[in-house]
Amino acid sequence: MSTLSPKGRDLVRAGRRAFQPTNADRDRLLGALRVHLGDSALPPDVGSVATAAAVGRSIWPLISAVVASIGIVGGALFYSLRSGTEQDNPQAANVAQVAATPQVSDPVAPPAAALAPSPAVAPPMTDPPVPPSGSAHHPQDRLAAEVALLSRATRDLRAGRPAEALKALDEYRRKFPKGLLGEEQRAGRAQALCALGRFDEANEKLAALAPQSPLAVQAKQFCDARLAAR
Amino acid sequence: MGSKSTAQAPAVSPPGPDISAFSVPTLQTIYKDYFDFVWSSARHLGAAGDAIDDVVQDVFIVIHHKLATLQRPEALRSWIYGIVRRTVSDYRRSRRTRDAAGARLGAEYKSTRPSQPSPLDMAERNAELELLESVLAELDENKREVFVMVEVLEMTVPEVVQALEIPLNTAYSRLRLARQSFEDALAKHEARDEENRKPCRP
Repeated sequence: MSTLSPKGRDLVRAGRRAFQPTNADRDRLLGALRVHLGDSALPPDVGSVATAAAVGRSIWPLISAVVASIGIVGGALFYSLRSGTEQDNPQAANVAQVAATPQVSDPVAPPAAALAPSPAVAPPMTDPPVPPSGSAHHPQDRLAAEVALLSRATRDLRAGRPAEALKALDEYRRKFPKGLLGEEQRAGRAQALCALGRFDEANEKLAALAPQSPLAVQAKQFCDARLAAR
Repeated sequence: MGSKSTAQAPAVSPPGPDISAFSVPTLQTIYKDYFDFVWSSARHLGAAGDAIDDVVQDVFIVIHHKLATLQRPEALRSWIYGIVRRTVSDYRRSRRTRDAAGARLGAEYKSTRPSQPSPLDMAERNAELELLESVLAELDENKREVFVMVEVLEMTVPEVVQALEIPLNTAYSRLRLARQSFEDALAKHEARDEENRKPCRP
């Protein structure tokens, strides 16, 4: 097979170089993923810079709180000392008090759920925190919501609650008719139907899956086992 | 006494990171070993500069969710590429509906990265990327994708076969034709540049 000319190879190399991520890219995305998936999915030893950033983020609320407390105490002390001498200018004291209002909310700090301690034994699939309602229009939140619904269905199915799993899958289908995880939804639906003994419907769902896909194989094995156990 | 190895030769031996004994890797390992690949693939597939973070993040969330269904760890790179491809496609579709203008492969080559080293380097790089963009734009989409996968992302042809689910012969044929078209287009651009550099006669 022909290879490229030296000029062509140079161009290709330029293409490779241009779209390489930086360490900052790697760390930024790692932090964002931890917020979505939790520390059990991505323990903090991936990349030292990222770890430092994560630690920085986790202690930031504490630092903010300490600084804010100092501000409040200092402001109150300042005000009490000055109030005796500056009775004729109360507005100045009010400004100082407003400036000392605690700023404890940190826009980059992950939500409380993401900072919760990891369980001693990590489950095979970690549920991401369900995004607050009304924010599902953002692609990240939407995907997290998709994952959360499918995880609920999987949990119900494993716990022997196929009807509940089916409800979660119905909800998924209603909320995300063109979801990124549609194939997973269909495979899960087939399994839930098999678990309920509705094999004809399950077969229809199985037939709609790509036959060689791991999901289809897994769903079919599940249904075969259920059918054999009848 | 020679010990008999139980490890089987993989159908595909990716030049990328070694996943020892082809056990199913953790998300952590995948992130460490394949972050650059995911990022570069997404960029080359047309994830715009301002959407790259969202795309890459979504790819890893999907990987996390699907990891339990991975049945061929030896084909991990193809599997990951498939996820990147689908995720980028989803973003491009949503962007098209917003902008009524589709992003295309190579359309983002003109964009510059904030972390690029110097204005001079940036200018030189952009000139090269502009040329690469216009040369790639002359390839049809199927050939262009195979070309980028093999030449730019350094995937093997069997990996391309697995990722795109096309026959081996088709992949080799597309690559051969893509290389030819690439060289032809490059020669045309050089000839045009040469013509433009000639001094104008009074």
